[in-house]
Amino acid sequence: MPSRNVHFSLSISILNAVFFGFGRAWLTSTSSPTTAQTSTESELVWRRAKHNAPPPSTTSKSSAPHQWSAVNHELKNRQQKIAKVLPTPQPRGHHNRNMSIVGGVGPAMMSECRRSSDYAQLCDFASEKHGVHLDVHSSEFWLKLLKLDQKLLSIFVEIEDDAVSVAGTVFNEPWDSNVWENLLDLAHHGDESTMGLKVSEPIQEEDSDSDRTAGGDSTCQMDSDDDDEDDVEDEVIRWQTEKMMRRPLPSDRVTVKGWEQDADAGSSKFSTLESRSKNGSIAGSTLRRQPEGSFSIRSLPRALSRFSQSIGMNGMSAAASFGSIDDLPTTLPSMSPLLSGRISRAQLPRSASTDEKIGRAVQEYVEELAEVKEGDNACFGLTLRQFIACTKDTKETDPAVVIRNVRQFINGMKNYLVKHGEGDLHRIIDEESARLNSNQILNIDAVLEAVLHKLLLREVKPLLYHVMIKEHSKAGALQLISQNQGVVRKMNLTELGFTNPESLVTPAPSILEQVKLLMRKMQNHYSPMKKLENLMKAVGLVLGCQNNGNENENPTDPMSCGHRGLPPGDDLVRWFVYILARTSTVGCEVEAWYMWELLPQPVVTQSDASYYLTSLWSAVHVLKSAEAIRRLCENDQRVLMSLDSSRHCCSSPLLSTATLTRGTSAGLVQMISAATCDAFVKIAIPDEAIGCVRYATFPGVPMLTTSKLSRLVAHQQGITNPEEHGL
Amino acid sequence: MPDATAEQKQFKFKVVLLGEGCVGKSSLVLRFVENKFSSRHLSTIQASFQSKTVHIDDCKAELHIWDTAGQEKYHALGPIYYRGSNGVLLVFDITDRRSFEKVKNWVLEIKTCLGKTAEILIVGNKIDLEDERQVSRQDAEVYAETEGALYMETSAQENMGISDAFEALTSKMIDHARTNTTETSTSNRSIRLIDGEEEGRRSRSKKCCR
Repeated sequence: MPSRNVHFSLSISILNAVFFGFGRAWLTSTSSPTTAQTSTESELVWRRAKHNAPPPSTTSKSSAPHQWSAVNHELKNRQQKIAKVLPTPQPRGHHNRNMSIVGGVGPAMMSECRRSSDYAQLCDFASEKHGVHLDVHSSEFWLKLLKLDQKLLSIFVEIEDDAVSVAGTVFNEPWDSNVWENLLDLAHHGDESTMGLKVSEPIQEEDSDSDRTAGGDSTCQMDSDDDDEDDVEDEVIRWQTEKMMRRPLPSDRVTVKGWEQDADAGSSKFSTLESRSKNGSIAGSTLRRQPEGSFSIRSLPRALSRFSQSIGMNGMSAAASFGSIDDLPTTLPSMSPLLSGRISRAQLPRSASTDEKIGRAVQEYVEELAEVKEGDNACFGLTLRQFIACTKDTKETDPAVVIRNVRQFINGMKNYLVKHGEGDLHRIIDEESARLNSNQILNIDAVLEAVLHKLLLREVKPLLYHVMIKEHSKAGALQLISQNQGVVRKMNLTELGFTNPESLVTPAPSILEQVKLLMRKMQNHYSPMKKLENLMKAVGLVLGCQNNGNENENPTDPMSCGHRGLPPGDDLVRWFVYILARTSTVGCEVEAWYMWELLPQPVVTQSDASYYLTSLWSAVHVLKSAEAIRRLCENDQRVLMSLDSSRHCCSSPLLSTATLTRGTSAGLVQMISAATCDAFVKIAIPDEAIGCVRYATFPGVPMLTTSKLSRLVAHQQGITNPEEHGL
Repeated sequence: MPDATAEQKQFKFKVVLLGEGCVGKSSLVLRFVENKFSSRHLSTIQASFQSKTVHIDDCKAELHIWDTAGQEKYHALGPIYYRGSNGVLLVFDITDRRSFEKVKNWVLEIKTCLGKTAEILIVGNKIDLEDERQVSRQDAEVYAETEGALYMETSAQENMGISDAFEALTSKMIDHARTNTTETSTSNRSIRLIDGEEEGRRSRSKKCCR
C-alpha cells in the first residue's frame, strides 16, 4: 500500500449538506412516542446520500486574505470546486528532530507512541531514520475529486454560538496537594502523577511529535495505537468520506447506521446526479477498504442529518447502490474543522499539510518569530513571552479568568499574525499558497492554532491545571469523584441503567487497557485537540466493541441504537461514566474544562465534538453526585418514559424547566423536558417527513442554555436549520 | 508607503485598549468589531488582537486593536501593546471609581512612553448602569480636557456610543497623521521614549494640538 495515512480534506457533511430541506424536524412535546416510533421504523429505508463534501476553505475566507492564494480565489469564483485530496504518506516511526522524545523507546514503542504524530506532521519527514515505511513518501497522488460549495459553507459559518463557560468559582483555601495525591493513589492510577498536576513538574507529552502538526491534521489523524496501522489511511479516508455521505434523505430518513464501515466516496451534497455517481464509483474503488478489527475514532457514530436533496430520487438511487456502505463515525473529521474555526475546514488543513512542506514552513517561521527578541519583528515573540511570564506570575485564582485570558490571547495572536503579519510571514504564506495545487487550501488558521498551542499551551498547561485542581480540591470535588468512581466501578452495565443492557457488550480487559492508555494520553497532552482526539478514540473503542456485538442487528431497527448517527445522549453519558470510572480518571473535570475552554470555538459549538464533550461534562456532573448516580442507574425504561411534567427535575441550574418552556411559549421550539436525572434532557422531536414523533435524550450539563441545547439537538438529529426552531 | 499628506485616504492605525479588569474592554472590542455582546465572557471569540476598517468621510482607516487583559499582572504587557500606538483607549467603569483613578495612572504612563504621538480617548463604559454611577460625566470630561484627551461614554451591553467612540478616535488619528507628514507608519514599530513634548512633537507629529 502506497500510503499509510491518507489525509483527506473532506468537509463535514453537515456543513455540506443541502440546507433547504423539507425534512424539517420540529422539536415539540409529545406524550406518546412509542407508537409513533414503531411505525416509523417500519418505514425506514436505508439510504445513503453520498457526499464528498469538499471542505470549503473557510479558512482562507476568514483568516487568510484572498491574495494569499490565487488558487483559492479562483476557486471561490466558481461555486463548485474540485479538490484533490492528497494522501499524506506518513512514515511510521519517524523521529522528530525538534522534539524530545520520551526516552528509550524501542521501535515498537516508537510506532505506538508516535502514531498520532505520524499523521501529524509536517516536519516529521525530515528525519527518516525511524521511518519504517518510507515507501509512503513518494505516494502523493490524487485520491479524490471533491466538490466544494463555498456558499453552503458560508451559511454555517454564520451561525453563532454562545459559549458555555464552565467556570469555577473562587475558592479561598490553599490547595492541599496531599489531597490530590491521595486521590491519585486511591485511583490506582499510577500515571496520573504525570498529569501535570504539579506545576513544577514538566509534563511529558507522549506524542510530542504531533506538535509539529499543522492544525487540522491532528484531529483528523487519529493515531491508532491499536492494531490498525496498515489500515489507517484507508480508514481515514473512508471515515471522512462516509461522514460526508451520510445524509439520508428526509423522505427515507433513516437513522444512519453508525457502525458500518464501508467507505465510499460519495459525491457531494450539492452535486448533480452525474457527479455523484461518478464520485461514488471512483471513491468506491479507491477508498474502500475496511480494516478488520481495527478500531478507531472513526468508528464513532457521527451525526446524521436529514436534509432534503433537490435531486431526491437521484440521490436515493445512488444511495441505494451504496446501501451496504454504512456510516462511519465521523466524529473526528467533524471536529477537525475546529481548528480552522469554520466548520468544514476540517479537512482542509489536512490536505494542505499532506504536502509536508506546506504548513511546515509557516509553522517553523512562526516558531522562529517566537524567538525573536528585538527588532521590528519582535512583537510576536515579545508579546508571547511576556504573556506567558505574566500568566505564570498571576495570582489570579479563578481558573475561568486565567483560561479565558489564554484563549483570548490565542485568538488575538492568530488575528495578529494573519491580519497584521510579522516579518516575512505573509510572504511565506503567499509562497506556500502558491505552491499548492489548485485544489488545495492552506488552512492557515489551523496551522497557527496548532503552533500557538505548542508555543503557549505547553508552557501554561501546568499552571492551568494547578489553578483548576486547587479549586476543585477545595470544593472536595476531586475526592467526591474519586469515591463515586469507586462505586461505579463495581457496577455492571445493567446496573448502570443502560437502555438495552442485554445487547451491550462489556468491554474486554484488553480494550479497557487501551482505553486507559488513551485516557492517560489525553491527560498528558497539552493540546486540547489531542486531548479530544484521544478521548474520542477511547469512546470509539468502547462503542466499537458494542458495534461488533450488534453488527447483525436489523439495520431497519434504528431504535435499537437509538438514533443512529450519534448515540443517544443517555447511553453515551453512561458510557462516559463507565469509562471514567474504569479508568479512574479522577481529573476528568479538569480535562473537560480544559478542552471546553481552549478548543477553538467552532469545534466546541458546531461539531460532533461538542456533543461528545457535552456528554463528557454530563458524565462528570453525574460522578460528582451520588444521588445523580443513583438516578442514572434507575433510569430504566419506566422512568425514561414518564414524561410527567412534575418530573422536570433537572438539577442543572440553567437547564431549568423555565428555560425550556421559554422556548415553548415562543412557539419556535417546543420541548418537553422530562429530565430523568441530572444528566439528561429528553426531547420529543416530531418528524414531519414521516409523521411521527421521536424521542431523543440529550446530555444536560450545568450552563447548558437553550440555544446550545437546540444546537445539540439539531446536530444529532441532522436538522440543518436549527435557527428556525431555536429561540 | 505613501507619505502622509492631507490627501491621504488610507490609513492604518494601531490602537490599544487599556484599563482595569472588568471595565469592559473586551466587550467594547467585541461589540465594535463583531457587534456581539454577552454578559458572560465569550472567551472563545474574544481576541486580544482584532482589526476593523473604519470609514470616516471619504477616508478609510484600518484599525489594529490590541486588547489587554485587565489583571494587574498583565500590565507588564502594556508597553508591548502600546508602543507604536496611534491611539489609546483608556477604559473605565463609571460605576467603579477605582477604575477611573487607574485611568489616570495609565495616562501618565502613556505620556511618558509615547509622548504626544498617540491620541488618547478616555471611555466611561457601562452607562447602562447609570443608577450605580460613581464617576460623574463632568469629572471625567474635565480630567480628559486637562490631559488633552477625548472623553466619551459607552455601553457595550446596549451598544451605545461605541462606534462613535472609535470613529472619534479615528478622526483624531487621521488629523494627527495628516499634520505629521514627515512620519511614516513604519516608525511605529520601534519603541521611542521621548521625554520632552517638543521632541515628541517633532519626531512624530503635531498631533493633538489641533
